[in-house]
Amino acid sequence: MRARPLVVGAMVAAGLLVPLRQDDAAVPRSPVAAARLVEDVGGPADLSWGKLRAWRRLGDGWLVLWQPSHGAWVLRALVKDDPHPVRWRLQVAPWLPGVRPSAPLARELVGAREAIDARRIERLARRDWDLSGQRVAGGLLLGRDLPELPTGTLGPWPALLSGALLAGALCLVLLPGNLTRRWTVALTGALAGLVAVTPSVVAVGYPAFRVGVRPWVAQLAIFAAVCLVSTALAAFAARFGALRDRPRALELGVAAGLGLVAGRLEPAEALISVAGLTARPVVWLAVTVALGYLAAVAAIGLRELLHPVRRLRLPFLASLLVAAAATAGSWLGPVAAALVAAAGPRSRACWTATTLVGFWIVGSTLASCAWVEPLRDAGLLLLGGAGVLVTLAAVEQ
Amino acid sequence: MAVACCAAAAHLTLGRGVGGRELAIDAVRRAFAGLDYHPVGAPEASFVGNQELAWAIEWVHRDGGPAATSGGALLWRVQFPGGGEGAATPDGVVWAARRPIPADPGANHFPATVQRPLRENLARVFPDVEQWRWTAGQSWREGNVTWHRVTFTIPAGGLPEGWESSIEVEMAGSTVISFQRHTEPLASDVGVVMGRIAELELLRSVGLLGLVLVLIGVIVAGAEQVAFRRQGPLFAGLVVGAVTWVAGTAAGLPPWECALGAVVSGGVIGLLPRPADQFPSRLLLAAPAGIAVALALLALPRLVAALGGWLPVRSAFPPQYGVSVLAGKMWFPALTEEPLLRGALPFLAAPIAGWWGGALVGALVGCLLHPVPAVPLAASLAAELGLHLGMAAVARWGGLASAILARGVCEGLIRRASFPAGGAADALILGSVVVALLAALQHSKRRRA
Repeated sequence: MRARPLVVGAMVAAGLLVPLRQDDAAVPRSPVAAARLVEDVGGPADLSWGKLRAWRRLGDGWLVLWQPSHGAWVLRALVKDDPHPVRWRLQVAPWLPGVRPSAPLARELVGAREAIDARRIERLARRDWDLSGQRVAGGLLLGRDLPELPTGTLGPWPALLSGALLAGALCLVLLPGNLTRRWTVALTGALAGLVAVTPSVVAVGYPAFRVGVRPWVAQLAIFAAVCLVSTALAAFAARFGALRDRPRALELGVAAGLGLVAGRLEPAEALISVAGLTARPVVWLAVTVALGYLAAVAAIGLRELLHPVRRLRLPFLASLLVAAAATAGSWLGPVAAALVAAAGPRSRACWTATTLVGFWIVGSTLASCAWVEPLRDAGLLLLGGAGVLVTLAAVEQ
Repeated sequence: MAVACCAAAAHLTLGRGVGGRELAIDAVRRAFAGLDYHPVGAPEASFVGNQELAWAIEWVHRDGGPAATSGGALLWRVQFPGGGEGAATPDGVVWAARRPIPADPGANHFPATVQRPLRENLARVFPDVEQWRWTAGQSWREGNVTWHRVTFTIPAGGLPEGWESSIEVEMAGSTVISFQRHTEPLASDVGVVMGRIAELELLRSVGLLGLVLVLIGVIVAGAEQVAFRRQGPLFAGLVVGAVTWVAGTAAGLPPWECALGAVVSGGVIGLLPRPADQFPSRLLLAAPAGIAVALALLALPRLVAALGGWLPVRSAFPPQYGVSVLAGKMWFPALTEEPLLRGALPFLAAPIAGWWGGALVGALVGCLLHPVPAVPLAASLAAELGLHLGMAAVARWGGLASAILARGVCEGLIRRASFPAGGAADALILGSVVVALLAALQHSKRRRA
């Protein structure tokens, strides 16, 4: 009987096909296409925009950002998925000189037909006006205010993962078992790849590009941050290692199916932004291995923390998974990886968690992006991943 | 060596604070006398620094040496107990004054005729008042008194080319009540400084991320120690944590930052294990190394200027001034950053990258934490990197305690020029050097015994 490859394939297919509540439609265009739309529609014509530097997914639109190399101004635009209207906002350094227009002239500049509230802001060498959300700096029209970036709290799930991660790290020291360095090597390699492509990844570092900060400094800051985090992760993996075991196709099949469901259920906004990069496969690989490894260590910790109630471990983990599906939002992928890996044997936690995170990324991308490049790459990864799992099942058979 | 250290520290400390206090008080008194007001009592003088303006002036004068005292970047604010306050630059140029309103301010003037009496009144304080250009004026009535507020554009003597200076004068009846000078720098000159400040803020956030990652490593390593029931020097950790908290409070830092600093330094000292091959503590290295690093850093602006760049002579002004603030600014970074960057990070990184690998990463993280604006930006980062590499060398050959002492001494000497002149601040820095030397002597005696 050759049922095992079929079962594994069915699990992956089920993860892809199971009907889910879908509130949000897929994003119709890439951030680069959104930027081109702004360039076509037209923004401030009085000055050079500079290069397209960064983007970020916000709600049902793209925030795209241009900045010239001197950094003295930044042009941001919000392109909704329904492209009308495109809103843009220019931010200029407070020290830039300009004229000191009167209130009527400022109203004239924004084209206000009736008297609207005007708030005057005296700068060093110019006068700015805030006319009910429309801004004028010196004689320059700055456009309308854009929605603020969300500054939400992290919530309980990252705290749970952090605690479990600390417990897992201690478990790997106190009860080491059969440790292997292969995961450390894989993680270091994936992170080295990420560092190597960082110059083309900086576009997702939207908040780093600010008025008055030259873009190369912002890019350097992002590069330094990526290097720091990658080094810290590699050092963490080198210190604690991972447990050695062979993967089991059925476990990986379950993880793949659940990963696809998690990704389709709650597509992460950060992953939509990453989908706009040309180096997206390298980022996906690095995120998969890094998050998978961390989730595995957290799973080991969670497993040991639940040791006193080991008969209730599976129902408890299942109820946590249901709660996470309802409330974890963008954290659903890593949380699900830790919970599912904690349900299996600890020696195979890395395999399970990494598979779940990888298929979560694929599922999220397939569910949230409607332009061709990320769909192509995610489709190829899905086929490749499913193929590997089926082959593994066949070999096991 | 102790005598040489004290001599070098005295050379770098005495006379380097912002002086001119008495000169400023005299200038304000003379200005009040010119306004027919004679304040009573001994005035209180406090120092006020405008950071962006000071650095912008230094930037413009980079070829001809620093002239940050002009333009009102550094001011002494003088308050008389019986009423009346003013401000003057350290070189005695009166910058602002406000006197109490007299019971009878004199005859009122019509707005159309106020210019002449106003200039005549001001001529007793500013002899060049006839060269001032009337820019704007407004008048209003309060009770029986007519008030006038007039802005003059005044000759920008001593200021860089393109900069403007103005003065705002208020007169009630026939009495000048107040005046306030303003400096309007050339936007591009201030832009260089403000842009660099914004860039360094961004880079600082990366440095803070590095500190957070090290802190996570400390927490994990500390938990490991607890799990294995290894006893660390907990009492020493508690003491260091308490001292750090006091230093942070003295520096005027917010409570959460003080508490975090205390937990960090106390945790590193009290929880992290001491490796078997720990470097021997040679406290004798601390004071000389701190002074040598400070000497090198204080000489660096000239070197950068000779190479065509700019590095500020003065470090950043603190939000408040005082001996306790200086003490906090000296010892808080020493007690928080040194244990993390020279203690914890090399310890955590040693199995992977060796002690020096960790120390180098620590220096790279540390150089992002407190740089000042410079042209090119790399000059400032290089200066900070030099400081941190120096401290890494001290920690390697003299132990962590030496690095903490050296950093404290070095910070004091570097920051001296941003604080007002005064015996107490000088005594604090020189006292720190003496304490470091005495600790070294005591330690060496104990080792011999």
